[in-house]
Amino acid sequence: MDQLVSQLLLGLVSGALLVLLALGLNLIFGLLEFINFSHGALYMVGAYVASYLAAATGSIWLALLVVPIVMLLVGAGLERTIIRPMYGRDQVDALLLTFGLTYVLIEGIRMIAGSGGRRVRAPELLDFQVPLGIGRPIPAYLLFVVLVVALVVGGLWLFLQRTDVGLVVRAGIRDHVMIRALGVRFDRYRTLVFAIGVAVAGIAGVLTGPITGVYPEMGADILILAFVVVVVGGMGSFWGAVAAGLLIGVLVSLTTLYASVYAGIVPFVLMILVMTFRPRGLLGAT
Amino acid sequence: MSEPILLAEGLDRSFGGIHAVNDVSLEIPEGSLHAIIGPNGSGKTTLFNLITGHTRPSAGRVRFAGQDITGMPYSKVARKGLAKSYQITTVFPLLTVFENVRIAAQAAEHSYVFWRPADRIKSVVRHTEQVLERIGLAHERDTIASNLSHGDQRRLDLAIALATSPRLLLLDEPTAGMSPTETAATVKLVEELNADVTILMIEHKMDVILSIADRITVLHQGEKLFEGAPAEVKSHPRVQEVYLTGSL
Amino acid sequence: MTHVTTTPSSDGTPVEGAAPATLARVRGSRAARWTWGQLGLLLVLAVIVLFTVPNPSLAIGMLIYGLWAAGLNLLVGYGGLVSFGHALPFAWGGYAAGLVLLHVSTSVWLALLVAVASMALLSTLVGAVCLRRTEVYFSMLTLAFAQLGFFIALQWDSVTGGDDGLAGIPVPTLGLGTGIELNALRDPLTFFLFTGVVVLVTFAGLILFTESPMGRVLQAIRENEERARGCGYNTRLVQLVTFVLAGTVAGLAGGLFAMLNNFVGLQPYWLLSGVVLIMVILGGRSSLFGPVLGAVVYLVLESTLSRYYASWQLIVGAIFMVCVLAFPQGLWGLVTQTVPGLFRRRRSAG
Repeated sequence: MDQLVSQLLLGLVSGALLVLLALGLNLIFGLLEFINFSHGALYMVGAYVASYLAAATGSIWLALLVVPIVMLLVGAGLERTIIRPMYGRDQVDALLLTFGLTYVLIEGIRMIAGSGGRRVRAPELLDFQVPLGIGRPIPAYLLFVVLVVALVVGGLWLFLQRTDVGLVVRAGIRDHVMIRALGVRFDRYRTLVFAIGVAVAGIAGVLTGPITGVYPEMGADILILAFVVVVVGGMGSFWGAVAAGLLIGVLVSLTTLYASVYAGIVPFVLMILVMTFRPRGLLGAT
Repeated sequence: MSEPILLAEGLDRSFGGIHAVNDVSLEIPEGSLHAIIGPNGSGKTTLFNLITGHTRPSAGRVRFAGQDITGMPYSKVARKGLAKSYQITTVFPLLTVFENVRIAAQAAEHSYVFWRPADRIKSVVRHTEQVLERIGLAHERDTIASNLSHGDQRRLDLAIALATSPRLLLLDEPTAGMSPTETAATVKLVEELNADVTILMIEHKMDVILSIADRITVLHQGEKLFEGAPAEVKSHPRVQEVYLTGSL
Repeated sequence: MTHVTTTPSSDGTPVEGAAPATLARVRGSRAARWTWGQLGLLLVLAVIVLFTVPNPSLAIGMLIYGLWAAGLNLLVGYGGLVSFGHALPFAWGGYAAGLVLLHVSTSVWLALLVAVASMALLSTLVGAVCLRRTEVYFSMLTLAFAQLGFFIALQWDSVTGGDDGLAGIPVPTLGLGTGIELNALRDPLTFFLFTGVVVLVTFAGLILFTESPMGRVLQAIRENEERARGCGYNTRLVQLVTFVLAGTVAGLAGGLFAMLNNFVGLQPYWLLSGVVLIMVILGGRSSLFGPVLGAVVYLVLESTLSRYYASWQLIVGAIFMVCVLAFPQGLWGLVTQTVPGLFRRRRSAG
C-alpha cells in the first residue's frame, strides 16, 4: 500500500511534466497547423540553460524565472526566421524542418556540453521530505513540481479564456479561414503562440533537471510520449491533454511497480486502443 | 413515369437547435436543370452537403438513381454517379491540367489498378481529351493547374466533375468570382452540358438562373419557400420580397 | 488538405497560401517525368558505387539503404505522408530474416520471403491504425509504433536477443543447385551483384506503381484528398496499400541488411527512422531515384565526415534544414532543374 501511494505520486509528477509538453504541442498545432517536432529538443535546451544557471547561482530559482523568458525569445526568434517561410507550404515541410532542427539542437548541445549529461541539484529550501500520513514521505521538490505545473496550466487556461490574444487563438484553432481575414496581425499571434509553447516546454525542462539530470537525448523519449498524450487526449483539446498526460504518467508508474517489463509498452497500447475505438481522442472534438 | 434521378424527402438538419435545413424535399427528373436560390444562410450549401453525404441528415432520406444513399460516405456516392463541383475552387494544384482530368476519368473503371502504366490506358486518355476539348481547356493540357487563371481553374474544377461521367452534376455557384465575360461563357457551358447530364445548381445571380433553369427551388431560412418554373418564381410576390431583401 | 490549394477570396484574387507558380516548379512534375529512365540512372549509380567505394560492406549498404529510402518516398513524396517510424519495418524484416536463417533454413529466398510476407501483414495492421485520421496523426503514430517495436524487441529477449541482438546469423545460400553462398566478407562481389539485382527489380516495381492508376491517385490525394474522394476514390484504401508497399520494401531491405551483417539488434536497426528520412529529403522527394542518390550521398558524408569531426551530425542536420527551406526538391531535383537549363542556354548561345 505504501509503495502504491508513492508510486502513484511519482506517476503524477512525470505525468504533469508530460502535460506541459503536450499542451505546447497542442497550442502550436491549433494555430500554426503543424506538429513541432523540435519540441522535445527545445525542452532539452531549456533544461541545459537551467543547469548552467543553477551551477552559477547555486539553485534553480533564478532559472525558473529566466529560462521561460529566454525560451520565449528563442521561440519567437525561430518562428520569425525559419518557421515563417513554411506557411503557405505543405504542412509536411514545417514538420520536416523542425525535425532537422532537432538534429541541430541535440548535436549542438553535445558539442558545447559534451554527451555525458549534467546533474542539477534541487533547491536547498526544498531539500526535505514531506510526510503524507500514508505511504513513504515524498521529497518536497516533487510536490513543488506539481504545484508549478498546476500554476502554469491554470495560467495558460486563464490566458486562453480571459485575454484578447487568447480569444483570437481559440477562434483561430476553431476556424483558420475566418481568422486569416484578420490579416497582418495574425502573424504576431503565430509568433506569440509558438513562443509560448516553447517557453512552457522550457519550464518543463527546468523542472526535470533536479529529478533526472540533463542529457542531450532527454527530449527524444519524452517527445514521443507527448505525442501519445496528444493523440490519446484528442488533438487540440486542452483538458484532453491534461487528463491524458496524468493518466499516462500514472499508468506507466503503476506498471513499473507491478510488471516493469511492460512499463514502456503501456502508453502505446493505450494509444492503439484509443485510435481504434475512439479516434478523436478521449476529449477531442469530432 | 420513371423515378426521378434524385429524390430527397423531408431532409432535416439542425446545428445546436437551429434548423439549417428544415423539412426540404426535392424531386429532380433525369435530364433537367434545377436551380436552388436563396439569400445567404438560407441553407443551400447545407442542403448540398446532405445530398452528397458530407453531412448526415437529422431526418429524411435521399434516393439517387433508385437507391437509398442517405448517410453513405461521399466517395461511395460519387462512385454511383453523383459528382460535385465546388464553390471554392478545388483542383489538384500541382498536377497538370491533363492529369487533373485524367485522375477523374480513370475513376469509373480503373481506380485501383497498379500493374500497368496509367498513360497506356487508351480509353481513359481519349475520354480525358474529349472532356478537355469540351470544356475548352485542351490548349492548357500541360499547364500546372495552380498556374491557371481563376476562371480557368473553375472550369478545370467542372471538368474534373464531368470526367467521372456522372449522371447528376451538383454545381455550387459555378460563376462565383467570375467576370461578366467568364460568367457568360460558363452559363453557356452549363447549358450545353445539360444536354447529357442532369444538373442541380446553387446560384446567387438571379439573371443566370432565370435564363437557363427548368425549375427553381427558393430556400428561405432553411425552408422551401416556393418551387416552380422561372417565370412563376419571377412573379411570385413572397420570393421577390425575400430574395431582394435577403440579397441587399 | 494541402495548403497550396488556391482559395479565392470573394473578389476572386487568391489569398494567402497561393504561391503556386514557384511551388509547382519546386516540387515539379519535371523530375517525375523521368520515369523508366530512373532504372538506368540507378544502374549507372550502382556501377559507380561498385568501382569507387573501397569498402564493399559500405557499397552494398548503399544499395540496401537506397532501396529502403526509395520505398519510404512512396509515402513521403508521392503520398505526402511523413513516416517517422520507418525503422519498424526495416528492423522487423531484419529480425524475421535473421530468425529464419538461424532456426529454419539458410535459404536466401525463404528468409527474404518470410521477411516480406510477414511485414506485409504487420504493415496492414499498423497502417490501419496510423491512417485512422489525418496526416498529422500519421506522423506521430508511426513514430509511436516504432518506439513500441523497440520496446518489444528490447524486452522479448528470448526471441530477439534483447540488448545483445541476434549474433552469428549463418551465411545464407542461394540454392538453385549452385551452392553459391552470400558471404559479404569472403565474396563481397557476389553479394553486391545479388543485392543489385534484387534492388533493381524492386525499384522497377516501385516505378510501375507510381505510374499506375493507383499510384497516380496517391499523388492526387496528396494534392487534394477531398477532391479525390469526390472522384469516387476510397482514399484511405489507396494510402493503406501504399503504406503496406513501403513497409514491405523496407522489410526486404532489412532482411538484406541482416544478411550483410550476419547480425540483427537494437543498434543500428531501430535507430534509423530519422536517417532514412534524411536520405529521402536530401536526395529529393519528387522522384524514386532521388532518395537512392540521397542514401549514397549520406553514407559518403557519414564515412568521411565522421572520421574528422565528432559532431558531423550537426552538419547533416544543418544541410537537411537548408534543403527543406531552400531546396525542397533535394539534390536530384536540383540537378534535373538546373542541368537542362544549362544545356539550353549553351545551345542558344552557340
